[in-house]
Amino acid sequence: MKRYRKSENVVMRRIVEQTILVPVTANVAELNSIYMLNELGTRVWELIDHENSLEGIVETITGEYEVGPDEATSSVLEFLNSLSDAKLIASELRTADAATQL
Amino acid sequence: MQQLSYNEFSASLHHSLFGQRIPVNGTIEVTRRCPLTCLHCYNNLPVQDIAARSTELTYDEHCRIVDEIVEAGCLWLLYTGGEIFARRDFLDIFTYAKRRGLLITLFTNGTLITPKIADYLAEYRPFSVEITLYGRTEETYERLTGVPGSYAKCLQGIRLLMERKLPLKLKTVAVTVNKHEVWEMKRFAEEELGLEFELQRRNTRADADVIESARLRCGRHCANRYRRRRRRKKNGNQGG
Repeated sequence: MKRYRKSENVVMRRIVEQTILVPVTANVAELNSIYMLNELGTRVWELIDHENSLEGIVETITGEYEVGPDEATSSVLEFLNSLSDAKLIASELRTADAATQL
Repeated sequence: MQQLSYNEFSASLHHSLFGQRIPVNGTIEVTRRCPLTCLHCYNNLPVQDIAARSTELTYDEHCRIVDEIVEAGCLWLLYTGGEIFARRDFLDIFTYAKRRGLLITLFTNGTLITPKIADYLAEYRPFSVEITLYGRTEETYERLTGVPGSYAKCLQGIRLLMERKLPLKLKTVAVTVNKHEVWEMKRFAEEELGLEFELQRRNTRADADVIESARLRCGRHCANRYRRRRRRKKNGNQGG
């Protein structure tokens, strides 16, 4: 099952109601980019903890927000892919005997 | 992913902070020492001045201040001097602040920038670097700075940062000694180097369109569409 972990080289800042991801080093995200998250994106970011899978994140989101599993899965997956494309997170497949870095 | 210009990002953040007295901008002067002895400057004690060095805040004290301002909501931080690279531990201070999620602008005269420092800044990329150019000719530059060889060192610092595509701006302070070269400095910066140039002023970042930002939305619609089923327990994660 695919698990997600945050890059060590990105910092989340909460300034009043705004959530911002600030890359620390040049090997993460695009040069000169910072990222603002909306409320749901912030909650998903909090749930990315190296242990949570897509299914686990969606389960939490559907428990907290009035959204069905299909729409939540689609939205969360799209968001995770955006984070992954920006190298703000990485994913890995975990099998019973080994972890494979993607 | 929705792309925002830096100005849009900045405007959005400032709009949300309006009236809340959040110290979103900060300035820290890390040293009063400088290798130059500019005619107009009030802040250029000798680099080897032991007394001056002894009065500077320590690395640990800088870390504590950074922790406090991050907690208070600071996002844009300017490091200036003196000359910031006159402090041997400046990159340590800078790195600590970077790792706390600050967007950092550096003011420097560029003369102490080495390939090693430039490589480091390419890795831990500052939000902006501003180098003051004191003249377009060696004669004028060094007449103002009082240090032979400083013009070449400044140009080398500029070149080192440009080679690494760092977000560099040039500026000058117009005084009697160099006023006849101001327009040539501007032409040099803008036309020969392709860099932004300005006469020195205090506010340096708010209108700089030097960074891209993106608004990441989870869901095809704004999160407000999803009404909360229940209130989440706050986790208290306010800082970086």
